[in-house]
Amino acid sequence: MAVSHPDGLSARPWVGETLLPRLPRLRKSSAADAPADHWQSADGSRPLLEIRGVSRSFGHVRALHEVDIDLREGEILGIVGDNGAGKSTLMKIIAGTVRPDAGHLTMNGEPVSVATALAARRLGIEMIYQDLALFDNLDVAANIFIGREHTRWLPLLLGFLEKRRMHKEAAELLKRLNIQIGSTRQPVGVLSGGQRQMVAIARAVAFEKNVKVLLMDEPSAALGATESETVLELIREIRSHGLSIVIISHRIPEVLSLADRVVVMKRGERVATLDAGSTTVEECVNQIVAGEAGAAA
Amino acid sequence: MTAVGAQAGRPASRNNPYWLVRQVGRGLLAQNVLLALALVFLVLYLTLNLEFFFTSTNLLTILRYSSVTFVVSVGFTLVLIGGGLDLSIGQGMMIVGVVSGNLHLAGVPLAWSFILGVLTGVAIGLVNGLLITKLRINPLIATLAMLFVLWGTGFLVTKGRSQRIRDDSFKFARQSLWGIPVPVFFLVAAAVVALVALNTTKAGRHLFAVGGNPEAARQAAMNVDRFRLGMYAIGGLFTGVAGVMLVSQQGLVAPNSGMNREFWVATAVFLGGASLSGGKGSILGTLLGVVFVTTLANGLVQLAVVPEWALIINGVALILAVAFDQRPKGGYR
Repeated sequence: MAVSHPDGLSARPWVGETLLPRLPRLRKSSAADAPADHWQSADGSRPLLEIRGVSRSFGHVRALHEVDIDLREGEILGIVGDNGAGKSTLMKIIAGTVRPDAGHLTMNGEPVSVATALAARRLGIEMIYQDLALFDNLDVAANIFIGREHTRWLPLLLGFLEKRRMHKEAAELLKRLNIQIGSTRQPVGVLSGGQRQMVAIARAVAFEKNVKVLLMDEPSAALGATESETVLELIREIRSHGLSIVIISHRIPEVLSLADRVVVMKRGERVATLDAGSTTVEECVNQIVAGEAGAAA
Repeated sequence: MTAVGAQAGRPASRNNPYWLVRQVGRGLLAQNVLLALALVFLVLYLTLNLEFFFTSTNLLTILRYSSVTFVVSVGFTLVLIGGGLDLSIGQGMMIVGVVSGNLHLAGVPLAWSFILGVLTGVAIGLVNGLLITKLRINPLIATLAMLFVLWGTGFLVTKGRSQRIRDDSFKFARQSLWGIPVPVFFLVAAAVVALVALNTTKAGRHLFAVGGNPEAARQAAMNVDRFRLGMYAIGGLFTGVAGVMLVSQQGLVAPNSGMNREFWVATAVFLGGASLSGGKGSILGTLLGVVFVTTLANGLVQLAVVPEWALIINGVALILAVAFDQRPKGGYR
């Protein structure tokens, strides 16, 4: 939904700001030109997910402006930036819970619409929010299967739960992902922060055949050192199953050790894309603080 | 899935030698166990102090009166578990009775006057649900407003007069089958249906989910509003059945028959472990709560205690129940 000013203009930046440094990119981000971009990976294969020219304003606040980002198959992409840089808005747009004012997404080269969270999920995009969206009053298996319960005898909501089967499958899933949780019958409310995070991850990838992209907002924000290491290990494990993962984090060293590439955002724009292997923490922080959108490689 | 006493799950530190001791300790502290113990003490006290308390006649009377309260309390419990609230149940029962009774007096066949009465309850629940999910009115306000509207409507329709019903077949709830009061069969049926639905079906699981974390339920692609609408309608169904039972038991179409019932029901259900914050509660707990409250009322009457004391004791019990629900996990500081 475009937000308009009282004078009838849309909530775009003033002309001088858009025209000068980024004229070429403005043109590139229009739909017709999208395939011929220079973000194509070295081996010539297309990225799994391409985000082109995505903008979004909330009232007068410009949360995102003309953002282009690629997500390659099987990579971990870190997104860093200060508070208000637009990281979360970007994630929510990919996850379908926020609609962009402009721009489009392609998946495997095909233009796709993620107008709703359900549409995103059908495309294989799963999002884990910072609050994890777990049900503290339900047990581990119930949380993993919520909304996708195995039932029998009666249709729809009247169906009887196949509890034993779900507990068995949940336990298998946890084992396959190497997640240490005593019993799938524990209510999630009694688990530790790290265990909760891992249950949320397990739930997101429980139906692996469909899931292609996993979006995670601050997966280790509330965790201690040991617990966050366990969670990071799980994220690597999931990547080894072929998923592409996008991670927002404030912990730069952690992102650099985990991710393949790191996108730096500032004031709603992408200011840099760094190769995590050859970037130092200092460089990353420097881009967060002093990066300029026009200089993006 | 165990709904109540969720904290009594298996802790990860099961290697701890005191694990079992701790589990038993936790079990004893579960709200339902405390409530059951309180009920046992109450029954003991009343038995020792009243000549005619522990007699089959009196116990059956308690059961008979528990039944009506229990059936409406089941609906109240379901709505609470789903994160809602319905204060209009008492006046809803009254309206259901007025509809049923007047239809019967107007010559409508018995079965139809009962069925239309129950459907009135469902309709009231649906309107509550629409007010809450469509107009986004807080459940407390919406159902409180409904309480007043129904109350006024009842007095308007009956012109403030009570009307006796002479037909004995209308008063089926006064009869007994194999020595057991008819309402007790309703109690058992309501308990079984609610227990099975709540604990073994997808709908029951989703009710706990929607009440426990509505935002997460939305993210799990549930239609929370539509679900809650159905929940209020089902709550209204139980109100409808209880309303028919009440008018049949009293044999009287009376505009004041619903007064203050919501408070007794709320006390019973909160004592039974349900919580205003949703996602918590059980049918067994509600049954215990209802029997406790009814037994207390019965005992106080026989002890010739001024009825006002019953109100005070209920208020204190309600505070204790809610304080127990809110207790911090690590203990008070």
